[in-house]
Amino acid sequence: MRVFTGYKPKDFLKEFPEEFECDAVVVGAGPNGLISALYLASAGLKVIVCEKRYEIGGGLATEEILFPSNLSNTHAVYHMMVDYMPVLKDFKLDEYGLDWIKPNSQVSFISQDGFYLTFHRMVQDSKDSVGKISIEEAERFEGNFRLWRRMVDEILAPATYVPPLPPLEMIEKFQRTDIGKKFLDLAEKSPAEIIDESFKSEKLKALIAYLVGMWGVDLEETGMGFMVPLLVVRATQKCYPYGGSHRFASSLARKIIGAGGLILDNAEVEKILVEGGEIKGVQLTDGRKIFSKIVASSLPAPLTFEKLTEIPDSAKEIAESLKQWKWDKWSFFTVHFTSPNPPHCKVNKELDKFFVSIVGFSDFQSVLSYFGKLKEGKFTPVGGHFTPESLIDETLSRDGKFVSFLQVCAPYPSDKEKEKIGKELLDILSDYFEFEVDMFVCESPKDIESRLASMPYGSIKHGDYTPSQMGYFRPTEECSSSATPIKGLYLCGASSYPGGLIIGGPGYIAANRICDDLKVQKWWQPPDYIRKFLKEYY
Amino acid sequence: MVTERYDAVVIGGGPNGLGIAAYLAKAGLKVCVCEERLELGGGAENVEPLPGFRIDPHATYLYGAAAPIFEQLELWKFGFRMKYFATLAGGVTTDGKAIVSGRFNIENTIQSIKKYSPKDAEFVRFSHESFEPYAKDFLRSIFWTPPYPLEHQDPDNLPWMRFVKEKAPGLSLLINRDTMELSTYELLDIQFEFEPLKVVMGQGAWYNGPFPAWRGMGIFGLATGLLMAYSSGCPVGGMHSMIHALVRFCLAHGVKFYTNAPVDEIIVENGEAKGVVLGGGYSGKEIRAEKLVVSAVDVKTTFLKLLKEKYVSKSLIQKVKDISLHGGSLFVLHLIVKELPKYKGDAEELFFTGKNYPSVVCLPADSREYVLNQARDIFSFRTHPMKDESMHIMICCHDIYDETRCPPGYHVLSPIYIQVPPPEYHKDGPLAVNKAKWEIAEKILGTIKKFAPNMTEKNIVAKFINTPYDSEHRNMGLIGGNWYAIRECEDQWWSFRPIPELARYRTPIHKLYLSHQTSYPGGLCLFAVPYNLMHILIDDGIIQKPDWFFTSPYHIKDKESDIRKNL
Repeated sequence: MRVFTGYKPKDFLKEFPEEFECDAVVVGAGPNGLISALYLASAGLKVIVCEKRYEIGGGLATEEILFPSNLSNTHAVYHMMVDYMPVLKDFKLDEYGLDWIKPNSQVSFISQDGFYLTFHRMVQDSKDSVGKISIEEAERFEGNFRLWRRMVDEILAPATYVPPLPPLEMIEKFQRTDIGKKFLDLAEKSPAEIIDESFKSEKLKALIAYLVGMWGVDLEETGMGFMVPLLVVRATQKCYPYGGSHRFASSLARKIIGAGGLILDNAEVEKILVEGGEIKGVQLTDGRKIFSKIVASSLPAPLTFEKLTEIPDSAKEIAESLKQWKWDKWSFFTVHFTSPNPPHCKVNKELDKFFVSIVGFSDFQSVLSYFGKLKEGKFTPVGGHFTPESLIDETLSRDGKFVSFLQVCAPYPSDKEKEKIGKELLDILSDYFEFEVDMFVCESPKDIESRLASMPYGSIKHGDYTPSQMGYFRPTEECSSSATPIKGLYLCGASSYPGGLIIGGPGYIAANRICDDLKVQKWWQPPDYIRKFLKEYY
Repeated sequence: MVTERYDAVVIGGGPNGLGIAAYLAKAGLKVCVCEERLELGGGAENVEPLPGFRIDPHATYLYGAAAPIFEQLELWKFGFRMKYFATLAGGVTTDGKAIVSGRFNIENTIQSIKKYSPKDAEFVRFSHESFEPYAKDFLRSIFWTPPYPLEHQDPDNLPWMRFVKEKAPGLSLLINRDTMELSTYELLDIQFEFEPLKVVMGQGAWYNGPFPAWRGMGIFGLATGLLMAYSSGCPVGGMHSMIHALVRFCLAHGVKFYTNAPVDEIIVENGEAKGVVLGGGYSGKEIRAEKLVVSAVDVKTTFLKLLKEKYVSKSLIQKVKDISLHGGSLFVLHLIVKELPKYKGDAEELFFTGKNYPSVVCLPADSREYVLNQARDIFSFRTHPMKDESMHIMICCHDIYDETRCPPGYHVLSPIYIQVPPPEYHKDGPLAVNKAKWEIAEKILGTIKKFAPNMTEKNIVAKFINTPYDSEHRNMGLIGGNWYAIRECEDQWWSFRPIPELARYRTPIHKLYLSHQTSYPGGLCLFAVPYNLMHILIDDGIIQKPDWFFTSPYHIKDKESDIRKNL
């Protein structure tokens, strides 16, 4: 019952006008929306970003959910593409409060029998750890890792920031190089097949499978094999922004305003105005209208199309096909907690200080079957990944506590008996770590949806990673390089190529495309590694 | 790390720090703000502890609608938007009486009072009509004027007295030399007869500053209530969104922000403030200020920690240490509920049928005894109130006017207050309230349930609490967990706030100025401290008066020779 709303005195405090005009409206202030807005504003366009929440950042959220006094990163925490994202260097964001921490101790996998493996920023350290299994397995690991790393550096990373090629063209072009051919081989397989072929050790396979599956990639899905190199190599190179993930967003926002852009929060876009097949602007839920010829939406494509006031014939088919959009197969259930002291690993104290510790699994099969059950919507927590956030970032606690979280993959909604599940998870963790709990808070896939409206069904990636929704087909053939058949409408969010996980690809691609379409001079150039890729394959 | 240079360095990114940073930036200075937390805004913050539900740990109302900053900085250009609360406040009594009040709902206010006291209803109409045209200028004369030098304390020439004499002689009924001696309650007793009305208005004073029984603070008690009534609303989404507009103003004017950047030390050379040294993740980094350093953190931290008790006399340090925080502090409970509290008696018709649901309800409004008992527990016994006769509660709900706060089908009762001693004044030690916090919450809920029987556990989805101890850890500027920083009593008000030597925002250290709610006129995000400080900076020649900056008509300059005399 909100019958009391709506009073407005006349001639009192002056407010943002009822109608406003600008060059481009960006819908949603998540990482991709902010990146798009920043490039556009810096190119001289008058840009307004409209954000539904009270804070910008979308998944770049560091909030006081352990109220009072303790913050946690409620969403993004592992930043895997920091070494590549053009926006970081183009705008010197490190001068605006961004300080990336990249620990050497990246991932530990502690199996139920106490055996453990560790992955590090420095590949030699990872290899040494695998050496505990056998010299041969360590060699296999290093061989594969080095190959995969080349695939990432030469293909996957640069491809993240350029529009996708149609599949046939891509196959033809990648045939030009050895590494391209090897990449195409991988792309045809399922992640499980690749992992199984590449290694012998059950533990190593389990670790690698978890690193791929945790992001919602179906390990048994043919055609998703190309995610293995990317997610495994980058899992060893994760960064964390000191002060919390929100600092990434705030540094982008500071730059946007500095470039003359405007950000409105608590400003939900209700409708995207279309007239005569062209974009006219947006209307907010409070009735305000912002007129512009360009609307770049970082919302998932299906939600963007639902907001259009009119769907021209040219886009009817797309709108129809987006009704079949597949949301993420599974999401996360996270228990955030504070403890008076840092948790200690019961197995070995060298495992105390890892950015991520994977616990609860014993072998390849246990990982496969866990994710297999998730696909069927069954949630029986076995294990997950643990991050003692305060280890890296003591600023999260205001009262001297230690903040950590354990996150497990879980199907939507998993919001029944949250507290009971949380306790079960902490029980699982206590087999591996010693810690005392002061306070804990559980966030279910349903909660992800409640916090971030752009993630229906807890879809952290704005839609499933499945071959029919990947690459050139994300979100649809016609829209995957951000432009749509509707003049002035661009898609710049994670439901567009190449996808989610704070890689900044869709935002960068959209901004470039908008500038090209408007014939606006771009002051930036893609970094060398992207130019090399373009020269080789485009 | 490279030393950076600016014209001005501001320590602390709360409302007063941001306010002065914005003013200076618009005046053309290169400004840097160093904030210890991740988020800017200090106590003007909103938190979403439960997905989709936002609570207000501290600042919850806009009080500063009369602030010149809105006109001078044109915050509307940076997205500033308001939600107005037609019915601002209400009170309910044990025997079922109910009243409401709201500037934008004046007829219903008068009708609700008329039912119990036609005389008071008439006086409410009279004072509304007399104040309405003058409210802004009257408030500015009190709050948006720098406190006078000690030698200019002739009561007839104080700004608000001059205002009444020159602009609104009718108000001299309430504001005159004699009433300056009175407390808020005594002032109310002169004009009103209906006790619940006086209780509600008295709480308006206490929760904004001076306790209503403190003598010499009556005019200010009423004026702080008037601040709230004048603004009668909140920025869309909560007070933090006003901070966003202000921060974006700053960014557009070239202000550099450091967040997660605590200041370890103020650099002083030859008696002049020259910059700051950062701690935390920036440990050791120097930020130099060519023209001035503004400390927008509390006065105690400034002198005792950032200046390390150096550079100033022993007597001044003693005075700073003696500054009292003991005016009561807030125990803040937040409830997510499915149904609004349905108060028994006349409230049902008045609040619901009449659609006059107040954004804050105070109970029991029967008698000031409850308030006096609560205060006695805090001030004299130095313990948190737990007895029935000390239970006086304020219950805010803003989502009824601002739908951005929670999903439909729910309400956020945030904040719900009682007052308790600041941590360092509690007889059982700083953690005493924290240890008893769920017990205190139960006591509060038990009391509310007597008035609103639907407030059962079944109706409550979630509970959150921040105690004064939590508050001062969350925001180091909220010393004592206080929203008004230091006690707003006669000895720490106007030219005596925080101490006479520092009342004009200057410090004994050349080029070091104060802009925090420990200075006059206290908290409430009025942006009055930075506005007032601007006068002093202009007088001191630190900046030239910009065209867009209009000064207070009541401002008194120091005599050239006096400027540094007291220091």
